[in-house]
Amino acid sequence: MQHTRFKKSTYLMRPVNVVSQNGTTVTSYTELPGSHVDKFWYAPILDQASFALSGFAVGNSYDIGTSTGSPPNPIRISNLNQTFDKIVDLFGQSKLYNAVLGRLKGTGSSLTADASRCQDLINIIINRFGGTVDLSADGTTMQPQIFVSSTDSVYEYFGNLSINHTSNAAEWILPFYLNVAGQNTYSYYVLALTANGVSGTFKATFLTGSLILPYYPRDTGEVEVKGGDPYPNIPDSDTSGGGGSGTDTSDANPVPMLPSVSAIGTGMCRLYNPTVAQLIDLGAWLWGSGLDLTQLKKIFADPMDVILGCSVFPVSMPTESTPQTIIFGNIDSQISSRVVSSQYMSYDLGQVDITSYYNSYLDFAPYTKMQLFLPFIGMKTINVDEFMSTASVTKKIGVTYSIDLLSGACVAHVYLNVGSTSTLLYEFGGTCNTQIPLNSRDYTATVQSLLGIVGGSAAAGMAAFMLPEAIPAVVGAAGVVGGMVMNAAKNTIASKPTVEHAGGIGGSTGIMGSRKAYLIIERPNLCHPENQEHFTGYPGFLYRTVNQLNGYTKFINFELQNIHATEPELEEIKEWFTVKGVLL
Amino acid sequence: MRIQFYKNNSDPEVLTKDIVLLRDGQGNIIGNYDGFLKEKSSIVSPSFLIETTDTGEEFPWARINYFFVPLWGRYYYITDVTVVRTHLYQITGRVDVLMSFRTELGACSGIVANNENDWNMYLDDGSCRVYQNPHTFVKVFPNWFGNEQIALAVAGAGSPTTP
Repeated sequence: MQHTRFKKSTYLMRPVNVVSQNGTTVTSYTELPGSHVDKFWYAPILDQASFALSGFAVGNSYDIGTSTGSPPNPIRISNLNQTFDKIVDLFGQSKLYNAVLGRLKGTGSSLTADASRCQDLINIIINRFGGTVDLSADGTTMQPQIFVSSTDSVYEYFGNLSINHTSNAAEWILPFYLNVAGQNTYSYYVLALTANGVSGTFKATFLTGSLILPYYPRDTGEVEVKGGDPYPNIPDSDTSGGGGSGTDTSDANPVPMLPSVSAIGTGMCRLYNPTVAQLIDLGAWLWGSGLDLTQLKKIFADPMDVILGCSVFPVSMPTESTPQTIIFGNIDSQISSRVVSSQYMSYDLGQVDITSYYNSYLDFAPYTKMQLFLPFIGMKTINVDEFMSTASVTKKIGVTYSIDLLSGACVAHVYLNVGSTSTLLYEFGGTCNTQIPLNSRDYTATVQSLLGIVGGSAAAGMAAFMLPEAIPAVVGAAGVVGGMVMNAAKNTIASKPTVEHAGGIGGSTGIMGSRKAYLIIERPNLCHPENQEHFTGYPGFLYRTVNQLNGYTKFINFELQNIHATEPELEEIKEWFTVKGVLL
Repeated sequence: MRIQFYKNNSDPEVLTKDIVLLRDGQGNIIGNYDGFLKEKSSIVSPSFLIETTDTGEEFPWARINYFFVPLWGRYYYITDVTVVRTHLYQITGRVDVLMSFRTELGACSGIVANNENDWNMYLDDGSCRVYQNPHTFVKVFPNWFGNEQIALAVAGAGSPTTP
């Protein structure tokens, strides 16, 4: 059952048991508590299920007892106007425009439907709510029926007047119903206590029923307060989370294999590995009388188009076992040269141990930083946390290059090695060859490429002095020691700039740069006083009893059990153990 | 009320204090006295009156800073010594909660924040201090690009043909 709360909280509806004067308990009626003296009935705002549970159904009646002589009078309101006031106060004048209050005084034991005796009541109704009242009698049961309408043409049947058939006229009050404004169907309940014939059995009858809960926007400026759950479609809060397995596995991610398809094997081009002397001979053959252009395939507009590229690589290339003569297009130059056997090759630069210097959090970010210089690529910042060894795990960092001997492109594979397992973590690309220009086009392209690298380096150089990394400062970490303010390590590190140790290195610049890969590891320089552990201890975050500990101890939280101390003493104990620290 | 007076050699933060009963030159304990409470005296901060005899040794107030009340089972720091009159001294103390309840506290438990011997150095509590000059290390990979060779790429399959 939904409760309607109004401005005056005393009007909270609730189901109550009402005992009629003959002792019969009538349930499922709601009662409006309040300051009025007499209780009065009004239509209970219950849902269909409540009706069903309570045994009530539309049109059915509920026997509330049998009168014997003096009829029971469970309902009595002596002050009609007071009742009206309550109704208006609760639901608002404009919304409550239909109500029935019936009062009939009967004489003797016969039912009398005397409209005139209801006239005063009818007048009150008209005066308060408008509309008209048509009082007609039910021919069968002699129970007067009352229709009340808010308009001139529509009459709504309210129900029967209840009748007291004794001379001790009781004031029966029919319950009102509440009509929801604007509804196409009338949503109301009527609980009529009627006299059923002359036997004096009084029944409670639900005459109509509809289950729209009437909430009334107040027209007096008061805020409408709705009852119930304002978020009916939002799931209720509940406990969640926790109970993770704490286990996971990592998939193998080794350094990739070289591509299997080589341009060399397609027959469209060939890659030679001549010595300098052989190249000189080839040049002499090309520019001398050795090359017969008439024999050159007509597919070449320019004989130099035969040469796809000539460059210097910083590696020893894989070659076929038997040297061969250089075939220039379709012309044999008769100049012998080694032949490169594969377009792609890998070159392993080896592994480096990343030892743990402090065996503590100081070995990790943000305290320790690591940069990796890769030949022909430049300086790269890598995550020290991924490669730093711990007291229980030894880690190494390895670098392998994959090189395309046709284009000069190279990829540096940076991997983590733990035991026998290698895991690829980073890949960086670059160019590792130096072009040997064969004509003006080649030379221009080489210079332009070089300018781009240099320009990029200059820009990188200007940006080399970078702002400090955004390391959150430790709040309250500055301690005053003898007048000297000392910063926590994080603040010290946060105040230092990050410096680029190299700009873009590739191609022609790369071959002049370092050909060795190296790591720059910047570690904090710990200020460690003697016996610090005795005066401040070190972090533990462990569950322990006091008996298990010795030396300086401070708890995050501490449970006092079975201490027969006073409350101030207990507070002091807790302060020692959680704020000041104790020596055990 | 029997009161035992001691010389406390420990810092207040020590749980089990190093306390020494007063003894005379012959090794006899002289630190036990009978005192009586001043009216409305608190157990947490009591005040006792100690009266010595005319012929007995003077109250060794200069050599004590600690006392124990066996009836209450509590140890106290001496916070003040007032000479009321000759042979009458008022001793005021404040309870030492650590020493008084050290046995029961041994069974108490909690989550340790810091400890002298039981720690995990991979937890960062922000307490360390570092110098402004860091350590810089360079690690060179064992292999490098130490060769220089020429690659000549030419079009064609490499087989001479008759034009």
